[in-house]
Amino acid sequence: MKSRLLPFFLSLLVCPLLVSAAAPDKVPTKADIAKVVAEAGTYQPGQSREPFRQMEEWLRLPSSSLRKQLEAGLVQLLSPGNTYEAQEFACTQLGIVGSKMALPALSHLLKSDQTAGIACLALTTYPAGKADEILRAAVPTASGIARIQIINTIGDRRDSRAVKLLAPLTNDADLSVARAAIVALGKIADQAAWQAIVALPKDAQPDLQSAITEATLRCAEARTAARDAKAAKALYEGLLAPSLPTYVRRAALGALLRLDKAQAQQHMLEVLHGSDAALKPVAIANVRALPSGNASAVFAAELPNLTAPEQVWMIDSLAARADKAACTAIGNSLASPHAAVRREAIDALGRIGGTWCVPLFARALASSTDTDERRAIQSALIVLPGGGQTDRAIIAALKNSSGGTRALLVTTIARREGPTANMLLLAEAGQSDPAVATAAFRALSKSAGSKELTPLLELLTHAGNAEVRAEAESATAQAIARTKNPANRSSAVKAAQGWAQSVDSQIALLGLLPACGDDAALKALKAATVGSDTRLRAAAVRALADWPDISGWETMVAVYHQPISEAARGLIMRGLVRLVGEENAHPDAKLIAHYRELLAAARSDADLRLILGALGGAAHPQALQLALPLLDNTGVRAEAEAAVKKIATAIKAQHPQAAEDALKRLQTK
Amino acid sequence: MKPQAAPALSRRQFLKRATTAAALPLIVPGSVLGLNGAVAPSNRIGFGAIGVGNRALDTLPTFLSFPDIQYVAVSDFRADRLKNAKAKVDAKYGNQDCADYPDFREMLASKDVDAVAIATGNRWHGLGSMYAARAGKDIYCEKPVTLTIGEGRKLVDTCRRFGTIYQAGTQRRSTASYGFAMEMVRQGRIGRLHTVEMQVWEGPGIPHDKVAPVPKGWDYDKWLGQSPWYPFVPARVNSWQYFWDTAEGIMTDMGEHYTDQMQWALDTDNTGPVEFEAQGVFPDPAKFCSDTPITGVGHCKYANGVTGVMYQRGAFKDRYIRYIGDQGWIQVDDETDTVTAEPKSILSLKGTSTAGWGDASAHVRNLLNCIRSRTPTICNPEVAHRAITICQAWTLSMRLGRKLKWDPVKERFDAEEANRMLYREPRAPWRC
Repeated sequence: MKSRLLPFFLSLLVCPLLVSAAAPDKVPTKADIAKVVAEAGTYQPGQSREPFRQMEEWLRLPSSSLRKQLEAGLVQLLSPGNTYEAQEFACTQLGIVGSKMALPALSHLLKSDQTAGIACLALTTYPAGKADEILRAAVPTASGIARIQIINTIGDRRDSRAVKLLAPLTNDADLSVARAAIVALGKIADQAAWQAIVALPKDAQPDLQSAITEATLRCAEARTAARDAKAAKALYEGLLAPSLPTYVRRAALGALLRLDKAQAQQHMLEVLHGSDAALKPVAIANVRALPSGNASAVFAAELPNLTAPEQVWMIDSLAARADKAACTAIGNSLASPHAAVRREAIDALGRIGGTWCVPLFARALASSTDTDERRAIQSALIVLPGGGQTDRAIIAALKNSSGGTRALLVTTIARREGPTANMLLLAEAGQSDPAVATAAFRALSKSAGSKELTPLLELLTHAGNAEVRAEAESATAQAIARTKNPANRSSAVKAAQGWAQSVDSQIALLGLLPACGDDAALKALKAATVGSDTRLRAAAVRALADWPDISGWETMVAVYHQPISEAARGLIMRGLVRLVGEENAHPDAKLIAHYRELLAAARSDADLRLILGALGGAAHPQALQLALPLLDNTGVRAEAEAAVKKIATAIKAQHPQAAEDALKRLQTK
Repeated sequence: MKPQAAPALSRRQFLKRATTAAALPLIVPGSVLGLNGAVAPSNRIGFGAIGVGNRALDTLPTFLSFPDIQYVAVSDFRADRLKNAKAKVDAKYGNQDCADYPDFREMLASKDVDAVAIATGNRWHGLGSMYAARAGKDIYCEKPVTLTIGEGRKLVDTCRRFGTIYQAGTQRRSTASYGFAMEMVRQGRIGRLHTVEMQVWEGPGIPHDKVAPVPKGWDYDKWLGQSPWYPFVPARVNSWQYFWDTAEGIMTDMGEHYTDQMQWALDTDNTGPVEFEAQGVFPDPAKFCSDTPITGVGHCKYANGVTGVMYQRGAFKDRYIRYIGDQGWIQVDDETDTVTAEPKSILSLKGTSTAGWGDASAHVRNLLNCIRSRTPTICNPEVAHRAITICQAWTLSMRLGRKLKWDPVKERFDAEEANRMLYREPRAPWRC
């Protein structure tokens, strides 16, 4: 961790253009402050902001006397003659540190449309008291945007003493003022403000309706907080009037249901049985919060009467309740004729279900042909709690199923990663249904290890279907890879070779020997390359060509020189080239010897091209010497040029002369 | 078999029981809802855009790809952007029906608009959301969702008051890589989580610039919105992210994505840390007019002892989040959407989904489902507010040069100066 942070902190230290906010500074004198304030007062865009930075930094110093001096400086910036930008800076800072000292100057700024905004920026953070008096006093004489600004700030400061001032303004001819006053009263929301809101004419201007709605909602909240539920309820019920916009009725209903929990259930049922479709989702969404013990049963009974989308929402709400009645209803919904409802039920049961869901899911799987739906059921089954008990339930369901459903359940068991999964998968891998067996082997390829190796080999040697055998071979190879001791790998395969009866099985086992990777496996392969059965010899050559590392070199070279066919020779050549290519990371004399041996053994230009492709990656001066003569062979000229260029470039730093000579030769060719 | 009464499960209990990398929050695909084909106009959700600059145009194609969305209007205070956005929407639908409004308030009065997508400058995110909520519109809003902590609380209250369905543009909650990392942390795969490390990139310094005439087609006063009035200075306007009046710099601008993830992994969506400390390096005021940090580091501590660290350093492509436990770690590199972990075996549990944060489809589907069902989205106002609060508290700590203790219930600091910075009064006529 330290090494990761070091460069970062070093960069903080060395960058000359940056200024640390926390850098300490010496305490300024009065003259220092006066100088900076004077500079700040003339600030205009384009100039250095250094005076502002300096003042801000001093303001953070822990000295109350210094703070007073600086505040006086900020107040000075508010006076005429300083730029607007300086005043804006001063107001921002006074909003953080300002005291009563600054109030007269801020009060002065309230009179102008241009500066009322920044004055309120500062005043809004002042403690209650004198700042409120100043704001109230400014309302009668202010006009235009300044007046709106002041009223807004009074509202944000929740100044109860302003209600008498604001109430008459709700009828102001200037609708902006009236609107601001109504909203401010809503924010204050005390008894007097509430009465002023309630007293507003029902036929108020349409332009004011949204403000009245907001103020009413705020008052209802305040009544709720004051434990005056009766008043709050009356306010909310007034907002349920059909003439009001949908969003207002929705908001009021939601609040009412939260407020009046005793009546909420009945209220929600009335909404569901009513004709106002816009309110139904609000009622359904609140089912989850009902305290009543029988609420799930009551609303589950409503499911058949709801539209498909409403059923989806109801299932979501019932799932949040997750009691017995809710679970039963959601389980039943798996059989819904509506795909969306089934899907919601599947997802919900995945969240809240348990072992008991398995038979329901199994039935749903058996009846579903939709790929996405089946995948959703599988996802739900994978995360279903219950551990081994749920695993056993899935196994029981699996035994009563067939085909694609059985295959899917097999994969599900594997994905649940239970302790008995591999045992079950091995049993299923022996099933006669190819789809089931294939699924089991695929799952085993992700989970099988040394414990499963011998059973897998048994299954592999008995597999009759080519596709199944291929999957079995793949799974067994993975199990071999997870078997740490190479001797255990090859001994297991060798034992299987003893009991394997069909040629196909023997071929599959030969294909596993490279994965074993030890001497015993190599010897077994070498022996198989000279056996009597043509197919087995060919399989052994194929496997040998796949040998994983350079330890197979001598054996492969021997087979190369005495091939059973030209095709086998070609396979081994490709294998040898692969091996030297993989050794390029360690270019040494031994590697060069291998390349030399290969070039000597090449029987065609095709072989040479193959070898040159790998040789180019050998960063060794002698590799260059091997490649250069081939520039004269027109059949492989292009590949030789590429190899020479690549080698020369790679060794240029260590062997400049050899590289330069080689590159020059390329130019002269 | 009869169902057994299932005990109520907490989200944490549920996740702990999952034995494999479970899916992301279960989102019913549109196809299941019958929305992949033609959708009756009456069943479409009418969308309007507030702010149609670069970010809006990034996400517009995703919104337009949903058959149950009809983009009916766009608004912007800049005429050039407005014209461009209308042309894009009209081109999608092959008509000229998309209404264009130079003032979003007129758009909000339209009954054709059910929901809005807000992708303005930061100063308009919270305020624009509140205007939309008061007009009865549901909301998708880009992060950072507010300018101040106080504005955030007002946003939460306003959305609750009006029953608004709101979703923040913190799409990483709907992204497979981040969901996977979160689940691995919650399942204890890295042991006991003790540190969450996050990184955003180094910010610029914006050179000084002079006052210039407001370009034709700009309603500059409205563009400024709630911010204190200031003369039109091109550098300030074009790089508004780096000025305190209009934003709070990179840590806040981008940091919310990662603090949101931290909150999610810690299951602290309705609360937050209790302590903040941050240091920053600000631009040289002699050379630059921007006043937000170039580099910095913020620390926070939760009541359970978990520490969050946010670095502002390095290049844009180097951003990440890393959860560190006492038995390992897991990291998501944001640029590549790559998950790495130690022990590496954790990675074998990862699903096959390759959809990164650039694909916001799952996020938008969550929003649309919630608009119909009137249930909270995965990034509802409280979640978003709590996530941005962390970044905002860091910027306050940085500016005040001191450690701050925080009461996440009362939402107050232990320092009066910091409390006075919780909220900025909007410039009239705008209001919260």
